[in-house]
Amino acid sequence: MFKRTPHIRLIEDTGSEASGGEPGSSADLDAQAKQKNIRALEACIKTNHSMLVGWIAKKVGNQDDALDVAQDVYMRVYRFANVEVIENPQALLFKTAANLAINELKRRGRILKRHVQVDDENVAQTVADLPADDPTPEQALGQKQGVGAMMEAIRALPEKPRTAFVKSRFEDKTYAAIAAEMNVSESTVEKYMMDALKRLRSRLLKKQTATVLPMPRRSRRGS
Amino acid sequence: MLAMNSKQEQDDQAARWAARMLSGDNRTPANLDLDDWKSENPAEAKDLDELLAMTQSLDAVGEQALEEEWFHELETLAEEKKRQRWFAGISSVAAGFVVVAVMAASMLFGGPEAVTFETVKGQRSTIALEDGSVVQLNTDTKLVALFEDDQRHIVVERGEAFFDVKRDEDRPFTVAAGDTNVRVLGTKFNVRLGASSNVVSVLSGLVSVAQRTDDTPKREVALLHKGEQVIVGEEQANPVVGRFDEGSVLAWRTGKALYRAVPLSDVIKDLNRYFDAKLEIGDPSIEQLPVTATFNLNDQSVVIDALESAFSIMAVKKMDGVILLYARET
Repeated sequence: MFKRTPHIRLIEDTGSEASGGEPGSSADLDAQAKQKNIRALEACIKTNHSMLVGWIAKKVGNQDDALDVAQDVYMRVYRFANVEVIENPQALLFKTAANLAINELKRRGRILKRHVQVDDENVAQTVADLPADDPTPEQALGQKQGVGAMMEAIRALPEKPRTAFVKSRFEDKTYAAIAAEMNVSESTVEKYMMDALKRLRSRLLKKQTATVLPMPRRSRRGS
Repeated sequence: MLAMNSKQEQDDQAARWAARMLSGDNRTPANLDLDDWKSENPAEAKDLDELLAMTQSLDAVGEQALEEEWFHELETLAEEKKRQRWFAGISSVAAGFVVVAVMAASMLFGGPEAVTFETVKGQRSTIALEDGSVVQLNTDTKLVALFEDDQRHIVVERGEAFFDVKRDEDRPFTVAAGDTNVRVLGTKFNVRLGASSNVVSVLSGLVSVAQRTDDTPKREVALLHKGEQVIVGEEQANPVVGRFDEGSVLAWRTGKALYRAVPLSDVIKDLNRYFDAKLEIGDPSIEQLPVTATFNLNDQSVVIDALESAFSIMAVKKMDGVILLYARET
């Protein structure tokens, strides 16, 4: 179902038209910049290797596969370093790792299942139950809100409700599993979910009451 | 006012039902309960449906949201690791000893972290620094590392250390040992801080050695290449660069001391760096005895045995712990 061709947005974006072939000193500068890229990446990989492998192993379930994924990550960031100037090697490394770990788990059908088969009984049923003449909230959402607005709404959630929501909905974890990971009780996870749902609704569904915007995340930290 | 309150209430109920239904395990509330509630509260039921539908449409950004969440997880982990790294990078070579690493006060003020590494007598230790460089501490050595974005500083406060510096043109590596300052890019070299003179020996790469005296500011006194050594001290205005015996200078890195025709008095002085019980020569006639030998530094009694059997020496332990060496009567 999923082909083993994990994509990386970052690499695809730069594609083939990477500025090549300028003569003289600018080519030297290019080469120097690349050297610097590679060195920065090497240092970054060295620093984070064991942490990364440990993290991937937790996601994919075993050490051997984790090493394979990590290897793939390194290959891709090196390739990227050859065509683009990297401002933040760690960010590139982590983005690529997150992306490839997701691809690996998607390939195994372990996460993001609803993308292929929307048969979550409750949800499917409730949507089907809605009167047909009234545009379903989903349609309304689809028309008014783009992907960007949805991402903004998720990003605007406070840290813990966001983590709980994302893990529950997209990492396909049960509240019990999330509770263990976040080191809180299941009922707390449920509270985080409620909080997330309410905030998402007020941003995405109730535009008329949008004057009461959620506080910026920064000021909420530490509370 | 009343309407708003009841609206609030109703929202909460819908969200509570939704949160329960999304738990991901099969313990969702009995459908009967849900159906009862729905038929009793049609308006709230619609809210619930809206919430669930919204949640479902959010699946469209699932992958992106998950990627951001995982990225965030990794950054948090890296941040934690960074704080622990100074400690984690320490691996003690000598068994039974623990390296003392102390965060200096500067860390409390959010500046770059100055970290102190220390070995006690008889201990050796290898430390992986955050930039990928490796430093090896000989016995009774103390050094402070301060890494900034554009500079890497090490101060050797006591003892002897071997550096294998990771090359980084944008971040020069400097080692200060007393009044001697060593500046490198990427190279391997040994620095020994002595009472009256400091010794810098280069195994590979290029090393610039500068010296400061009471009356002169810091100035370069030598540019060392592979295999070269300089001894800088107070008395020498223009220190001489010479070759050095790699085996004897760096034997300590493998836990050994190597001497080639070195007077016994100097050998004793050198060996005393490693052991608590001090060796002394009790017999002036053997002070100049040339010693050519390799000692294993892990055990002082083995060293003394070797001296006794190979050089016709007799060791006597005094009440205060000092070990006196005499020529054995034949």
